[in-house]
Amino acid sequence: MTTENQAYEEEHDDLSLNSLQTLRSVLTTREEQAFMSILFSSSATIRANNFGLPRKEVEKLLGVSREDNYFHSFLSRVNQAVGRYYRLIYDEGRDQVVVMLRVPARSARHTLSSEALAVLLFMFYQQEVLKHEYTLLTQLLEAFGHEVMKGSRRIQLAIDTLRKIGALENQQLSDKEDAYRLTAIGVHMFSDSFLRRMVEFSHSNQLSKEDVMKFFNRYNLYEREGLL
Amino acid sequence: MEEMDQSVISIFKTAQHQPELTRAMRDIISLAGVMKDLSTEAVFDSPLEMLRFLRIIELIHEESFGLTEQIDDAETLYYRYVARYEDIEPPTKERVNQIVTILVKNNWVSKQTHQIKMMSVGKRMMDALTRLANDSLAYYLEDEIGRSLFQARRDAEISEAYDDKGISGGNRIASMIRNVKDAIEKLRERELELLADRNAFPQLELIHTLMEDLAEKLDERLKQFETIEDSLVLSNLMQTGTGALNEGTSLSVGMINKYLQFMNVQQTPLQTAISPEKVRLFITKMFNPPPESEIPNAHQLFSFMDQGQYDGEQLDGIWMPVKYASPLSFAEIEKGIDFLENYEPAVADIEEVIQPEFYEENIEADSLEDLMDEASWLLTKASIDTEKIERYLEQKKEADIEETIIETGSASWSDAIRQLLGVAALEANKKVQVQPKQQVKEYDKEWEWIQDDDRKSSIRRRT
Repeated sequence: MTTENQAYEEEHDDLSLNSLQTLRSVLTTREEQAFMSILFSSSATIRANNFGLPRKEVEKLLGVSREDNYFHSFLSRVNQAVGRYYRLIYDEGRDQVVVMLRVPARSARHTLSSEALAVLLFMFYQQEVLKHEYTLLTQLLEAFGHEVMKGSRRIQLAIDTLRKIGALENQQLSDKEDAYRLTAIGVHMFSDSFLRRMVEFSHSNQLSKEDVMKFFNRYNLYEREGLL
Repeated sequence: MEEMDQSVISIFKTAQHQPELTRAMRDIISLAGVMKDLSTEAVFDSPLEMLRFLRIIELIHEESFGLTEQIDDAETLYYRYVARYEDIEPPTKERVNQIVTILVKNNWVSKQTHQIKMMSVGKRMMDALTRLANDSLAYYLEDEIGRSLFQARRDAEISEAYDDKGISGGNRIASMIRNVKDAIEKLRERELELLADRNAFPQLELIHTLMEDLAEKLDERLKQFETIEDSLVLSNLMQTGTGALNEGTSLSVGMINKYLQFMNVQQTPLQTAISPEKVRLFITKMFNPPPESEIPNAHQLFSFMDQGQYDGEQLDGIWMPVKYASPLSFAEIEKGIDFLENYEPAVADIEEVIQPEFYEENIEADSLEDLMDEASWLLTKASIDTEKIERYLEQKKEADIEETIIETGSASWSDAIRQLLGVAALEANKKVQVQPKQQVKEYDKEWEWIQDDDRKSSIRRRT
């Protein structure tokens, strides 16, 4: 086995896949099992709210209860090990641990419609940069709706797909206006590179990645989740 | 004939019986003849054989212009071929001879004892063939989008060349518009791919020039038709044509704009200030950017990232929530297999279709007639109601005709006709016997016999 592995390593310059091997050194067997359970977290049925496992369930798998430090250390260690392909995020609002998969640029074109992405981006900007608590449907309609044929229908359609993958959820407001809030999934969907390219295009200027990340408040994101 | 010269020349509009048309068609038949003689299996499998054939006849062609010395025979032709073209496996002398024979047979060339000469059919055919081959070559040299555009431009050129001489080039304008539309569709399909390609700029430019070129040509063509009286049909075409071209140009301009914008960004110095206003505006425009703008939508942005100009951005597309189906337990697999094997769809009760049963019966030839009678009687009974009369006669054994009619029906005349029909049917099928009778009773009734004697008969059942 070892010789085979070595031969494989020599053949490939990019050893990133081997980082999966390092899982063993950062995670205990029990933790590894917990990660796998999260991967297999539910059946294949796609419903808006059954992504991932509840934190309580994860803690049970880990054999602890309500130990913040240990829980976050587990998340951060998994992310260090498999971060190139997976990202384990904790959705506080829904108390769920979700696995997200990295999709390279080429395949990303087939994941969501460009309209859905624009809607998500708009909400992301409002809630992550401007710190709005939620986005109203009327705001979306105002931003995108005019000048577009069947604008509101298309926006509704985009919202629908986003809700199906769990990127956003309805916000209950006292008055009867429709409002949406990004979930942790929605917050984590855009890659740093995408945001950088987007802002660069909007400014017709090159920007450093740090500046863009600062703009989107992405630095303390990991801190908040205890990843650093 | 005067009038013919005025309007366009088109084989589809020329009267069928014109001798000129027949001769023109004969030209094509001669072409078909040559092609048929050539199209052996060997040629079909090796397209280069066709090229060799074209080269040989080009040699004869050149001679006919006086560009080269005269060709004595097939052998001269063979040596000239070898000297002229770089061919690792030139046709053998026999092959050359064979080709010359085929050409002679179809009157493309004439062969005299010391000379091979091209005839006028040959010249025209050769021109057509060379044009065809060159066209194809030019077509295949282009890429997918280019091909459609190339075809569109050719259409425009042919239309130009032909229309001016009063020869119909067919429905060139329509074909041209079709091709432009095809090209635009392909352009749309490949847009993301082209944006992702770091070296696609020259191609984008090429497509755009073609598109612009075409716009000019189409415009020119359409303008000519504006003056024609019956431009009603054309006005529709013109509209779709200009529409398609506008779309194509704005699409190609948009692609170039986005591309240029992307390249420009690479060359600007680093900037630190980010304006939220600009970002917000950009996002709102991203939803549905107009095709000719320099603003990419999200998919196009991904395509640019696919170029991988920044380290790692190729991989860094988007993060999606993911779910893996957990491994199936053995019991679940069992259950699944059982389901597949024993699955019976739940449907409504099947209605049974009653199949008529047929059975064989042998009967004597004599009784066949009886059976036929029986059958025809049943048919008659189906259309005429004889039931009552039969029952009545069963009781009485014998009755007067008038009595029967009135007793089984009523005194009204409509019943009389009905019952009389019944009696007639019974009589015809030999169920009853009608006999003359002297003494008969008279009944009250609405109707009269035309011949009073007719009522003097009795009916008796036959047994």
